[in-house]
Amino acid sequence: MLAGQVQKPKLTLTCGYGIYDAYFVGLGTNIGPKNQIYLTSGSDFSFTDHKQFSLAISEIRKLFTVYKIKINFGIKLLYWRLEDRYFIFSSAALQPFFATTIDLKKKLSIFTSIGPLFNMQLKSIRKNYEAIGWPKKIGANWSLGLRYNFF
Amino acid sequence: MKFHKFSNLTFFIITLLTSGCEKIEYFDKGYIIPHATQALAHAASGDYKFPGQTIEAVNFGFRSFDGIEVDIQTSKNYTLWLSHDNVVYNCEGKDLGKFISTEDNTITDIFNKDSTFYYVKLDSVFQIMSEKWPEKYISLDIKRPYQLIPFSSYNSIADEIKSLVEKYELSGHVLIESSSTYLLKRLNDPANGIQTYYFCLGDFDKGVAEAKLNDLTGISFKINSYDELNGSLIELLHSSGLKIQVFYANEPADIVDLNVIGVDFMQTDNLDFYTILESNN
Repeated sequence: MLAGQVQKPKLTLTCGYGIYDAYFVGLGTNIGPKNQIYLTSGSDFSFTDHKQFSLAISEIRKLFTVYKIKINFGIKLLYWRLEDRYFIFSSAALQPFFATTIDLKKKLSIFTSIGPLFNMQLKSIRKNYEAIGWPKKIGANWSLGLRYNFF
Repeated sequence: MKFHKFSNLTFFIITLLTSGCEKIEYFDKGYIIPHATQALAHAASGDYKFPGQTIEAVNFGFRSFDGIEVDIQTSKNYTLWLSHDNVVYNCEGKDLGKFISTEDNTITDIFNKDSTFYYVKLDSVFQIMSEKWPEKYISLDIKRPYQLIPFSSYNSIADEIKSLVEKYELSGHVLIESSSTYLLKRLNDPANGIQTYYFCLGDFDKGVAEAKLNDLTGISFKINSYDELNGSLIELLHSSGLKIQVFYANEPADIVDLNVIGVDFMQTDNLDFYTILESNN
């Protein structure tokens, strides 16, 4: 960008899969020359007794580019809910992460991200008396997905 | 055809990568042999007959129940004293400062004319227990100092407790309740036989998870709070190799129900505890 030139706002559609996000879809926009913010919602679309749901907001900042691979750093605030055979758990989590983005076409890119996830338990409901368990305090969350820039 | 191969490959990669990423930790089974519920006089014997956590209360509690529960504070010298409050008061009720900031000689000097207000060292209680009631139990509610203290301070507290247990040969008869897993893990030592209970305010599964994660003896559980105890939960707890001590068990209905479902230890202020159980039987 040249000095005095105003950056054109972007609207980005994102979708993919993450360990804690499940299959997610969302929208993002730029909030500066290097920063983007995304809002995503995810589900594993399961009709069994194992169900997962997530809601996340993340901010990503571009760091540098190596051989056309953009290296980014981000922070994600995530709400996730998991139901299995024994429990229903609801948690809030904070995840710092590194992400890589590769442009496939002018408006289409593929990305991956990975980072530790710090959980804070919000609520638990016991369904039976068959097991003792609890969400991990620190987990590893990675995700893989696509982004499409509308304009 | 290309899309099919791509989607199959993507699904395979996702399945492979997700197979080791468990979000929930489930704990292995173990087993303990349940024993009859033991009654512990809360705060030695509360304020019913004697001021709580005095020598008279301690003696009465040991005489009347299977054991006692006392609250422990730490002085500046890392001596362990009996007190529910983390503040030292003089005989006139004046605040002399926090226990953790007060020297032992200041605490020792507090003694009113009627001998009804003074502080007792844990050392003295262990001596009484060792001489008169070595078969009884004592549960120590180790209070957090309500200010940040370094881990070396927790180490000193743990070492003092282990030293006293060894000195008075009370292995297997001392229970520790605390919300500090660091302190409880420091006290976990098969040689000294100290039982460690994670303090939880009614969230059963959270408490049990902390106990299993840190390899503790069990949980110290506040009844009539969040989760309701029942026979199935106690059976699940015991089949996982954990014990439970409950507190605030004062109502006759609670005492009867908790005895039926088989909690291991019950802290109570109710001096009619045994009469209630007998009349129910």
